Amino acid sequence: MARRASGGRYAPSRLSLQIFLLILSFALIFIGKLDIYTLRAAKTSVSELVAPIYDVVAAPVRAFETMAGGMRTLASFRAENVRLRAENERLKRWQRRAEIVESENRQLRTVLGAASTTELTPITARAIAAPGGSFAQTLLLDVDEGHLIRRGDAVVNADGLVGYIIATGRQTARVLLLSDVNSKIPVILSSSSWPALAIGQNNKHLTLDFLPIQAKAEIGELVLTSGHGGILPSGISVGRILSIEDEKVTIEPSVKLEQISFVSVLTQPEANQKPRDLADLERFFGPVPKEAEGRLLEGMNAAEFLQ
Amino acid sequence: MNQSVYFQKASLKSYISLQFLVTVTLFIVGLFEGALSTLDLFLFSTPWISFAIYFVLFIFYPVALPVLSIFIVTFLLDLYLNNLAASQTFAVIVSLLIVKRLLTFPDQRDFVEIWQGFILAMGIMVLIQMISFMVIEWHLVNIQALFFQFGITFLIYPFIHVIVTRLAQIFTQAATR
Repeated sequence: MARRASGGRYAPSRLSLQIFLLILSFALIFIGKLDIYTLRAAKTSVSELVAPIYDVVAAPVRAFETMAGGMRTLASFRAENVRLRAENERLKRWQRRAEIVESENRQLRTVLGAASTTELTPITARAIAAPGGSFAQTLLLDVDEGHLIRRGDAVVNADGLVGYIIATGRQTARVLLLSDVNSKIPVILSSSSWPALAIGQNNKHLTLDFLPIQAKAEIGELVLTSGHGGILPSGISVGRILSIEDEKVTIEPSVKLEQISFVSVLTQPEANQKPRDLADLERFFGPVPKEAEGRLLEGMNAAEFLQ
Repeated sequence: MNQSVYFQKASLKSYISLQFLVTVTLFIVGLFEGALSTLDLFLFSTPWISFAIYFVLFIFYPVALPVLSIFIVTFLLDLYLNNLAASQTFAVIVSLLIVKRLLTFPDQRDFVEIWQGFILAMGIMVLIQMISFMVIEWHLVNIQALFFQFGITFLIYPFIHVIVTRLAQIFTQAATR
């Protein structure tokens, strides 16, 4: 029931406030999905404001994680040492092979006159916010002011692709993890070069969709970014095929999503920066533009005959 | 109605400071909950600690936690954690309002009944979030992670209930002293 306030006006009752907030929150669910600028700006502003507080709040969790990691390492110190020595030897052999292949590749490119791929500048950033919950999987990065990071830039770590930038602020940037349901990455199978899309499932694995029927995927096969679409660079490791059941191909990501602390954002060097804002991305993913309506009636314009 | 009520001096006691304190605390708890998801055990499925606190406060101490506070905290957390904007807000408010209607006279009820009420509130919240996610994203939810969250929160609820009610008692005693 409405309550009479001292000023002679009727103050809104608790019930009407509850109903108003319910309607507002329900409406905001759909407004939020419209991806309007105001809400996106609000998200960025909240991230900028809350990030320092979050950093302090998350400190005990990080300390616990570091301590638990240290204890695990101590417990398996000897075995870990042996494993790392073996891995080091294996990596040295791979490094030698990579150097030979790189040199050969450069020579062949020169002979064929092939265009070289664009050099990207890596910017190291620290992940400050958690990967998220069951409904959205993103990561917030702490970046320097005046950074050159833009929407669509690839985010990688030593193991492979982590995701790509979906929003940038003054000192923060948000990454859509490759495990999120909205993440759809053009990939190729490393051995056969068949193209497909790696789609996030909001869990630890991805699925491979739009793989041609003729393609023969094999368990353990490496999946790389294809570079199709021109947003992400090609040749970044996305994961390995974990299982093939009927037509469902599951990929295990190369990166360990629970252990992301530092990442590299692959940005275009300042000299190569072209204006790439939301409108560009939307044009890229949007439908083919319609021709001007007037052209459909070309040749039937009576005005031309009358002249 | 007694006419003298209109001529009484306005009470200087205000709940706004308490509500502000609770709102800020709950926001920090929400951030801590988000930070827990960096741990291997809780990756993508942290227990809903803040929801358990909302429940205890909203059912037993409604003065400390009005719906507006829940709206502000959950909406800011939705924005920060990049969830569907206000999806959690709507789900939390609806579930708490429904269960509050069902749990009349909570002080006179057994703890098991309160616990059942909490499970019902969690169920309603998850259901609303699942439906809104599936309708808007057109994608199935990771049920395994949700069950894990549900189970863990179900188990830790008694601890949170005891801690929150004890803290509330301490504050009430300090205020009335």
